[in-house]
Amino acid sequence: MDEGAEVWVGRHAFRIERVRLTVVAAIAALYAAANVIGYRDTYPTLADRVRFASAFRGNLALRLFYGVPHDLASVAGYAEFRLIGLLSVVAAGWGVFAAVRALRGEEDDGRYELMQAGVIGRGALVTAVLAALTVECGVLWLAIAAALLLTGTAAGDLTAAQSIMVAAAAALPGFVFAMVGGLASQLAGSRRGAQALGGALVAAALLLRIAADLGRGLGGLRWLTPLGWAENLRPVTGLNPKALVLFAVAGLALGWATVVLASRRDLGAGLLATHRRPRSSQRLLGSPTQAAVRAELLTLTVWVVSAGLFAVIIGGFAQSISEQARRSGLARIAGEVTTVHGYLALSFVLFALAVSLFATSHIGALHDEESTGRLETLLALPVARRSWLAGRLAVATGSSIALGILVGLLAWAGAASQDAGVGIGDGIAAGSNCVPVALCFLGIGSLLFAVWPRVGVGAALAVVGAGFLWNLVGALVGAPSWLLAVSPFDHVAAVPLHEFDYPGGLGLLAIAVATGVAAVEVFARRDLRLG
Amino acid sequence: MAVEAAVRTRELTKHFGPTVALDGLTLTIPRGEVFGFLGPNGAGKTTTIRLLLGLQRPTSGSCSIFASDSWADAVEAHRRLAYVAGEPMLWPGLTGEECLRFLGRLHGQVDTTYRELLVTRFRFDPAKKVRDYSKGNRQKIQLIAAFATRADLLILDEPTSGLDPLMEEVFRETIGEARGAGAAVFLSSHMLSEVEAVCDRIGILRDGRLVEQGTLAELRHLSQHVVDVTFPAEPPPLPAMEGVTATRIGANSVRFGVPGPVGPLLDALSGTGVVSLASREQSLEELFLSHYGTVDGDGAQGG
Repeated sequence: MDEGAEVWVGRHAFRIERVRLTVVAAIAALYAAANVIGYRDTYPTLADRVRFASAFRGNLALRLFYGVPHDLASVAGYAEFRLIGLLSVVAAGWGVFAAVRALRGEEDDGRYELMQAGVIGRGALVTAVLAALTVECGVLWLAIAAALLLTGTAAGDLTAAQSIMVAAAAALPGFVFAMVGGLASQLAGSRRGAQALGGALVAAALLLRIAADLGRGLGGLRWLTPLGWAENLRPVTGLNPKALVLFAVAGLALGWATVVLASRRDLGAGLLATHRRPRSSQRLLGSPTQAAVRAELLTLTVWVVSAGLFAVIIGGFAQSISEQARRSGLARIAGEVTTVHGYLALSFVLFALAVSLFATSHIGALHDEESTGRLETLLALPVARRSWLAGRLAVATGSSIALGILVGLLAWAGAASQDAGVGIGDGIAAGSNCVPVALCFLGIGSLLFAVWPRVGVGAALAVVGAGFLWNLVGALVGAPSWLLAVSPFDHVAAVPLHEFDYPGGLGLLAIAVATGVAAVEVFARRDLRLG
Repeated sequence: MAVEAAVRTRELTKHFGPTVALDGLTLTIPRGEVFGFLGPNGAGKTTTIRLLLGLQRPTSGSCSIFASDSWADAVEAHRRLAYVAGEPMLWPGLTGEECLRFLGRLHGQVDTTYRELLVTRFRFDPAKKVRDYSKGNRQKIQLIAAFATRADLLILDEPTSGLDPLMEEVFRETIGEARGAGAAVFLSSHMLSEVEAVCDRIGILRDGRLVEQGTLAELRHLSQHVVDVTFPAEPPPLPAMEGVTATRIGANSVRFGVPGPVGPLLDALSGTGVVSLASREQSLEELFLSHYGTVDGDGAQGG
């Protein structure tokens, strides 16, 4: 029977992740394909490519997001730079949270009761989950590799080995950080704590990579983190197999430590958890909306701190990056983007995405409330359905506005510390500009929740991902403007370089209100999902 | 004046796609009555409760709580009832005390003195986080919160799953108090002993249909006498008697199920040299089994 239980646990871990994994893998594969095709089509001749390479080689803004470029004059070199730089971070973030979900989340929800029944040992259970996570990383790897083989290798721009290794460099940080998430799940006393610990480690790794890529003489820092190893692997411009060894050793060591710690602790306990008795407080428990605010404060803090840190960094580099861009002659190609305001506007496209993801993540909380049966407990009380959903959407809206404005203020603070000539009004404008698009996605997500309660938050996040991707890729593949306008991100103006796009922004808000109201009405009329 | 109906359903029906979860349930529960709703898993008990609570919409038919329509006037209906779910689903980040207060404030009507008494009576420690409680303790939070509202109607779905026998006793006592105060209780259960101990009237649900309904005494009339007879040797052939069943339970022993008076059976047995004879009334357990059967799901005996 023991073997049966392990297989069950492994399959269960895979099942709860399959939708998210599919979305992440699909977005990663599309991103890979789009970069290969886009580069090839935009810079068809060697002369184009050399011009592009010489203009962007020393660009600090690109280094900030993607790392150090080694060869920007070939499809393979460009793919190495763009894919590994971004996708390794995506894989790391996904890996750490997938592990916490599968281990700590399921444990906190009491779904590993077979463990208490003695059907399966804790060590064996954790081993089975970690094995499933490793397979999931393999899926991510194969998806990226397939995209590169189909678009790059088939056209003769990358060798098969290069495609496979670039994909591996992008996916392997996911494997190591899944093990980090596993370890965090043993150390922290709750899912929240494990998420915070794991997320902080990803952020720390990213900050170390940025320091290594931007700081003079700090390149050695790259050997400290999996994100740096991915960058150092360089499958196209000089393969360094040492990085592969580090991935394997770190992953196995962390996995082993996770299993050892897991078999030593009590169910529900955490090695770093405190055992003080909690204090009861009656603050913010007068209504479901107040209770949502109570839970929201921590989530918002985590997002403000992590997104805000980036905003400060981006702001802090505004002056030197734009100056350097002007010197390098980039201004002739990229025009006004090389001004401080242009650089900030470009960077804030990422924050528009971040605030949108934050807003949409609230739809996940709605699903959670319903699927755990807590919503049944609430709605059996004299609580109206309309006011429940409207209250939750109001909290998500307020929270998204706060995040947008705070990120803007922090970017301003970073820029002001370097006397970059950015006004506080520019910061607030750039931050506020992220809000309408985020609310539009919140509205769409809420309607999905109301109409198809079984689909889950993955669909809502996929809408955000698809919109963002289409905004990036659409222009590259020469889509007509009406088709580009389908993506809500198309209506986000380059603030503070340009003025806020009133027709576009108000249109997004109109969609947000319309879908939100429709969601409340549909939800008031539908059956509750069975717990 | 007629007694006010706490629960009234008429031809209440719910389909999930092609599945008929509940089929034409008609039921009235007056105030002051404890109604036991019996049935095996999947019979439609929880569906009935979700329809009563307005969490799901009836496919056809209607149900109301104190004359407020369960679906259209859900909030109005919920002011007069308190609900205990079979699976206690609460907020893991709140403490027991916070949870009790939260549920109380959302309901709007709480007897705090009675709540303190219940906390003591159920021996509940409210100072821990919900995630650290066992299932039984989480169940206590729901029960205490529900009883403390002193609502006119209690809807309880398998409320004692996870409680130890001592606490079941406390639960029965508290149900008695609620009934004494004039509340109606809708108690869904598959525990016959519980239903037998506290319920005035019982409905038996099977495959979405209400197959029996009545007071305990009325249902007993449906029950049979069970007569175990041991003969000196191989049981002799007996004349057929209407409704009487016979099952071999040993080499020389036969169990008779007798729906009516036992006189005709005794007449038939006279002169067969009976060694021993034991007669008793069928338990609710056996009555239940005779409705649900054990093998083919149809096993109505003596029929």
